[in-house]
Order: sequence, then structure tokens, then C-alpha cells
Amino acid sequence: MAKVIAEQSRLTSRGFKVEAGAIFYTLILAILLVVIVYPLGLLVINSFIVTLPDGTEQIGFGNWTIAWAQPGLVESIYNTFNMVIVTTVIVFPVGILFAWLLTRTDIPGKEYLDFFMWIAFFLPTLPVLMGWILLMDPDFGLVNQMFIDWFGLQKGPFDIYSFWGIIWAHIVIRGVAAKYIFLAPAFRNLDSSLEEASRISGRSTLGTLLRIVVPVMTPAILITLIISLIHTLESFEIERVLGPPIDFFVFSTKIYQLIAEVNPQFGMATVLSLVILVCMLPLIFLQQYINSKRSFVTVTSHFKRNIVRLGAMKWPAFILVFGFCMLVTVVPITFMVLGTFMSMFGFFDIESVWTMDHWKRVLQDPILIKSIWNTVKMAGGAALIGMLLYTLLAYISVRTRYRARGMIDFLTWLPAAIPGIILGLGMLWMFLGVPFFRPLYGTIFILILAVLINSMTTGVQLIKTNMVQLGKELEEASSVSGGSWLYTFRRVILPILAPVLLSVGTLTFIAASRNVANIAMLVTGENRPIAMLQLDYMADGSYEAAAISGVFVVIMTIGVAFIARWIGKRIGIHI
Amino acid sequence: MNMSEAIFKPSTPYDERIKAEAKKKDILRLEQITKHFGNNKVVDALSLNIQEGEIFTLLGPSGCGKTTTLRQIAGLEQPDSGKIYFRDTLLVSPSEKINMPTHKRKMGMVFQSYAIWPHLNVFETVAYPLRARNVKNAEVKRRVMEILELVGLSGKEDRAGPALSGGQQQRVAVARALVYEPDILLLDEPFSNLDVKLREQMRVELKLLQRRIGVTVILVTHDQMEALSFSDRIAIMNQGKIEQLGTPKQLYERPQTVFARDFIGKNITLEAEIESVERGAVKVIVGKGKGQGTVLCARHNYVTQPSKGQKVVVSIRPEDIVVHASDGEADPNVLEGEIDALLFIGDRYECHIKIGDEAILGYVPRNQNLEEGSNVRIHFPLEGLSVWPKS
Repeated sequence: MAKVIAEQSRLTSRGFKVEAGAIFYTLILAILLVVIVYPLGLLVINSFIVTLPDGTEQIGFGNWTIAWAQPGLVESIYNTFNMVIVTTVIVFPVGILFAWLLTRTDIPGKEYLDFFMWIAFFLPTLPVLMGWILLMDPDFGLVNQMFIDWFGLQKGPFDIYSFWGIIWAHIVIRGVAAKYIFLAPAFRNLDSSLEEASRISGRSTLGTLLRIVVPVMTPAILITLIISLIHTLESFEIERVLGPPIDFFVFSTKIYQLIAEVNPQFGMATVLSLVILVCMLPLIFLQQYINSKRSFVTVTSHFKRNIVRLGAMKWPAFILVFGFCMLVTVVPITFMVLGTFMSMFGFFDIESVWTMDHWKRVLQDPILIKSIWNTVKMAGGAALIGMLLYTLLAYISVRTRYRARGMIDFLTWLPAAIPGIILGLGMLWMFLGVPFFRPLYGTIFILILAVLINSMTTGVQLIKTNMVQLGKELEEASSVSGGSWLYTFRRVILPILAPVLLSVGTLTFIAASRNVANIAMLVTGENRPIAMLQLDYMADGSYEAAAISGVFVVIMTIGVAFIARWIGKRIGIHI
Repeated sequence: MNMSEAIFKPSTPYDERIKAEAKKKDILRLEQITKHFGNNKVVDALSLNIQEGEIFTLLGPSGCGKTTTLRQIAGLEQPDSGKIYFRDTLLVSPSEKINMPTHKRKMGMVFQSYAIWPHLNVFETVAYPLRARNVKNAEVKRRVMEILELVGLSGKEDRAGPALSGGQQQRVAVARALVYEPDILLLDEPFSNLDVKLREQMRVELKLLQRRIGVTVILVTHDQMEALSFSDRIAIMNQGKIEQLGTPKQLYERPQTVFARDFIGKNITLEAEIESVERGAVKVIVGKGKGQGTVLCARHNYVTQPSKGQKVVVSIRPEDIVVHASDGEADPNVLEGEIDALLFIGDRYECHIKIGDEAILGYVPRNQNLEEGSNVRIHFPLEGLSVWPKS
């Protein structure tokens, strides 16, 4: 028997099954390695390369010793984890509560509240943040001014430029909404017959909750927790805007600062990147472990949902959720838009409060037009290439017996776990350091590459899920009917997957339009997209121009999401 | 076949028959096909000849390798070793690194799930094999309409595939498989998703269709009724090998192995001991443990070297048993027993009878009046009885 198998594997390796496909798949794998692993490898190597005063380079721990000696660096690591933990402790329970309220209780207006959560999830960070700055700036913030007027205080009680200001920003900008979006399906799909079976077997409501609901939900909750920890850890824009005035740096803004200095300190930046990656390893392994152990409960058509009656708590619960929905969507966006018409951002007590001047000036500014055009090119390019590339990656992983497909799986998942700023740093290194790639630096192409990598995990995962459900026999039927591989791909696989592909394209477009962290390191004046322009305006304190840029970012994210949702209702796109 | 000609030895009486049939031309030839999934040998050095225009069935329990064999014929799986010939063309041979891809094999296939594409309507689904081969539009239309007419789906060409009922989906799948006029039609458990009534109807329809167009059909099924009623020849498969190959009647009446005997039809066995061996019959004693025992005479013997006193089992199909009320004449080949349970199943009674310690099953016509608990005499006709080694 063993001999037979050895014979068989020898035959296989001799190339009986090695088709053109395998060569093609290997090529894809090689590209992934070059754009994801190679930059990370460069970071590791370069953290150990010390440049001597005379310009020569040698291997050593110089960067590491210097880095640890710098007080700001250790502090930034401490700040990062402090911020992550505090944010998660507040946001996570709220997310679970909202998910439960909106999926398993009789709270009124569920669909609308869900819709607001959906908007909050897609809203770009910076425009929302602008709205909140307008409300909570210590000097001119509207809320603070109201408190001063009403209570005769000397100074408003709120300060967005503070540790707690940053935490607040995290709560209202996607924090809770993201938890809700991830958890709601799990809550929604919990088959109430599981609970009912427990009740009939003699357990009380509480006993059922503890013995059935919690164990069944635990994997979903844990995965969401880990994902949200990783997401918060990766955050960049909020700290980039709110941190510097109070000298508060997390690792991502510290890396950015180190590179943006007149004498960029690449060595230290790489050291910091590596420290963070190592700190994240346990999270990454834990996520893989839970994912591998998790059994997916399939939902049958006979499935029924159990609705908890809130009784007297119905309306208070509604007001709570509705109020929060307003806080995270309508309120900040309204104020950001208001800000574009104000002579001076935030000042309501000057002579002429309102003006169209900013719009007139900015709309004639070639920089804004160019940035919008850059975003369209970048996001559109990423969406188009993404649809094809992600389908290919999903296909290799689900349908082929290509031997290194496990490796491809790992590489498609990796970008989700690595902070965008670190990936960006690695890519910067690659595009500047390798002569072959250098001409690409400053072009739209490398931004497309960066956002493609950023959206890869979600995109491939979505397509994979749909592809698994697509029976293999549908493809085989085409094959038997005389369709070649390419013909099958074109006439069967692509059309059936079309709705999910359009969803993935839309999501990629939106993610690219609002992305800052992944591209911050790679942007030049030439290829700067609109979101990055807004960040630059904000960092310079030009809030009026930043607000106008923000309006365009909102249009290109939430506007696109609305269109997709509206069209999608007819052709089956779900985003 | 004529039972009286049955030769009294554990021979393979269908040999001659096979030789006679072999004069027909083979359309497909499998030689020593072996296939592993991991360490599991799914198909084990399997060889088969399939003749032009016949309905050939691979019958066996799940996991016996029948579907894998079919998929290797289609080219959806590659064998680890062995060869498959289509007429004189070599389709696959791993040792020579030859493997004709599925889409060039010119076969049609109906899948178990029908594999109806959700994004195409009936017309486009059926037109697919023609379009894949760049057939001209006018020709496509003519042939699709023709085949839809043939399977009884005229007027439904604009319907979406998933909007059809199970039976209609199957017809679409058949139409798609046949539209290119393939030489071989492969059917992978095509009836298993239909309800019983529809299944019987589709079976008849498909058989009539096959007779009309003369395509060679290879069917895979685990349903013995389907195999018996549908096929010209059947190969019973077990653990990757062919247990027995023959016409449905041969397999039912003269199973050659214990597996084949137990897999097709119902079968009852009684422990016995050989009394004497004569030309044309074996005498065995049943129930010798308690007292005298009764002598039964069996026509067929599958014990290689029968000798007096050897422990064996006798086997018979329940429908061959004749049950009488207890007051009949004393005949040869009769045992006495008591009715344990009498189940009315519509067209007849299922009669569970206790003979000593052993329980057997027999069928009783519904006009015969018997009662539970009454004593009966059970006649085992010589022709239906066979002697097997004790396992």
C-alpha cells in the first residue's frame, strides 16, 4: 500500500497533473510574496542595519539601543495599548447590547436603526472627526459654548484634544457601529429552536442563556473582540489629528512623525513597527485558533427567531439607540457641512458668520480637483482589479488542488492583521530601495497596490463564502458540456458570482476612498487622493478647506454606498 | 436463461453469454483503473467494456467507487493508473501522461443535483454545449427546440432554471446532456432527488428516449430497483471492484457471490448441513440440532467442494417461498412453522414465520386466509434454493 502511494505521489510530482494552471497559480503566489512579505522582510532587515556617520552601513543593534533610549518611543507603545484597552472596554459591551437590542427584541424602528448603524459603519473617519472638533473644541466648540452660556462657566467642560477626547472619537467613529455590523448576523442567525429545546429540557431562561446562548455565541463574540482590538490598534487618523497638540502619540503616529521629519529616522521607525508586530502575534494566533475550531452552524429555512419583549423598556431603549445613531451620523456630518459655509470654522459670534467664499476658492483650486480625480482613479482601479484578483485568489483557495494554496490563504489573510502604517512603511522602503520599482514611486499605481492589499482579506473572504455555496457540479456540468476552463470561468463562474463581485467592488471602492493609514507613507503631491488632502489640511489647521474636502470624501464613500444599495436592491448586491 | 440448463458447479454461467455479447462493438474500455483518495483505495484495478448503444449500470452501496469511476470516465477525476479507451482513442493514461480534458471528451452528463445554472434560462442552459463549440445561431435554435420538444419542455425555454420543478429540472439536465448528440450519456444518480411516482415516470421516459436515439448510457445508482428496471447490463461494485456483471435477470436469479446475493433483492438464509451431493441437486438437512431435521433439495450450489456433513447455509428469495395452511399433503422440501406476524402491505401479506429458532420472511397472496399464531407448512421450491458456504 505504502509503495503504491509513494508511486502515486512520484507520478504526481513528475508532472502528470502539473498543468498550465499550476504555473499561473505560482505566479500569483510570487506576486503576493513580493508585495506583502518582501516589504515586511525589508523592515526586519533594516531595523538591524545601522548607518555610520561616513555613510557606510553595517549590521548591528544600533537602532534598537537608540530607540529604547528615546522616551517618546516607549511612551507611544504605552499610549497605544492604553488607548486600545480603554476603547474596547467601553465600545464592546455597547456593541453587544445594540446587536442584541436590534436583532432579538421588539425595539421599534429596527430597520431604520439598523440603517443608521450601516451608515455609521461606512462613514469616513475624518469628516466625522471634523464635526466633533467643531462641537468639542475647548475654545470654540459649540457644546462648550452652550455650557458657558447656560451655566456661566469660565471654560467649557469638554476637550476633544485629550486622551478622553480620542476615546470619544473612537466610540462615535465606527467603534460601536463596527461591532454591531460584525455581531448582528451572529445574533440574528441564532436559531431559537436551540433555546426552545433547552427550555423543554427543563432549563430556565437564565439557565438557557448561560448554557446555550453564551456558548453558541462565544466564538463569534471572541472573533469580533479580536478583530476590533486589531482595528483599534491600527488606527491612525484620529490620533494624527487630535494627538500632536497635546503631544500624545500612539505607535502609528509616532512612525509617521519619525518618517516625516526633516531627517527621517527610518531605523527607529522599523524598530517600532517590529515591536508592535510582535505584540500583535498572540492576537493573531488566537484568532486563527478560534477560527479553526469554530463550527459554522448552518441556518435552515425552517429556522425561527425568538423575540424578547422589552415591555416598559421598549421606548427608553429606542431613545438610547436612536440618540446614539444621531450622534454618530447626522450630528457630526451636519456640523461638518455647516463648517464649510462659515467664515471661520467654529466661530459663531463674529460679524459675518456665513460665507460661500471657501467653496468658491476651493472649487477653483486645482489641488482639490486633482485630488478628487486621484481618488477616482485609485478607488476605481482598485475596485476593478480587486474584483478580478480576489476572485482568482478565492478560486485557487476553494476550487483547485494547488499545493501552495494554504500559503495563498495565509497571505490573503495577513494584511488584515498588520497595521496599514507598517505595511505602508515597508512598501515605501521597497519602492524607494529597489531600483526596479523606483519609477513607480509617486504614481497612482502604488496607491492602488496599497489599498488592494488593504481590502484583500475582506474581498477574498466574501467571494470564498459565495464560492463554497456554489456547487462544484455547476462547473463540472459546463466542463462536460464542452466548455474549456476559461469558457467555464467566463460563462458560469463569473455571472453567478456577479452580485457578490459588485459588492466586493463597491466595498473596495469605499475602503480605498476613505483610506489614509495604508497610503499615508506612499503619498506624494502628485498622487495625493482627497482623503489624504483633507488630513493634510486638518494637520495644517485649515479647517474650512478640510471640511470641503471632507464633503467630497463623504460623497465618494457613503454616496457610493447609497447608490450601490439602491441599485443593489434590483440586482441582488448586498453591502 | 433456462434454469434446467444450469450447470451444477460454482461456475460463472454468464461467461458464454458475455462472449456472445462481446461481438457487439465496445464503445468504452476501462483497463485496470485504480484511484486513491489519500490512503483510501476507492477504485481497485477495475476493468470494464461498455458496448455501443446499451444501458450499462454501475450498482453498489455508497462508497463503493461507482461515482468515482463515472467521474473518471467523464474526466472530472484522473485515475492514478490504468487506461480508458473511447473506441480506439486513448482518453487517459497516467503512465503515458495522456489525459484528454473533460470538455473535449464529447460526453453528456446528468448530475445528481442536476447542476442547473441559476443565471441562465432553459434555452440558454440547453444551448450551452452548442455555444461552447461555436455552433451557428440558427443551428443552435433548431437543435435546442428539437431536444426540448423531445424531453417535453416546449414552451418553457424562457423560464429561469431554478424556477422549475424537480422533474422539469431533470428534463433540462437531460436535454443539455443530449443536445450535442454525444456518443455516451453519463447519469449520476439522476433519479434520487425525485419523489417515488415521478422517479418511475422519468425512468420509463428516459428509457424510451434512449431507445429512440440509441445513445450509450452509463448509469450510476445505489437503487437496485432502478438498476434492474433500467439497465441492459449491470455491474455490481463493492470496495472498488466489480463483484458480478450481467443482465438484470442473471444478477437477480443467479447471484454468484454472497455480496451480490444480499445486495440485490430480499433474501432469507437457513443454517444447514450437506446430506448428499447428486447431479443436478444437493440435499441438505435443516434443523438437525433438534431431533431429526428436515431434508431440503436445492438446485444450485456455490460451495466449491461440497462434502457430506459440511456446515452450509441455504438461501431463497421470499417470493419463491410458498406458504400453505397446515393441513396439506406431505410434500418434499417442506418445513413446518408458526406465523409470528402477518403484515398487510397492500398487494400481499408479508408473513414472518418462526421455524424452530430461526425466523424467515415469506410473501402470501392477499386472497389467502391465514392468521397470526397459526401453524403453516412452508414449501421451498427446488429451483429457488441455493447452497452457500457458511460465512
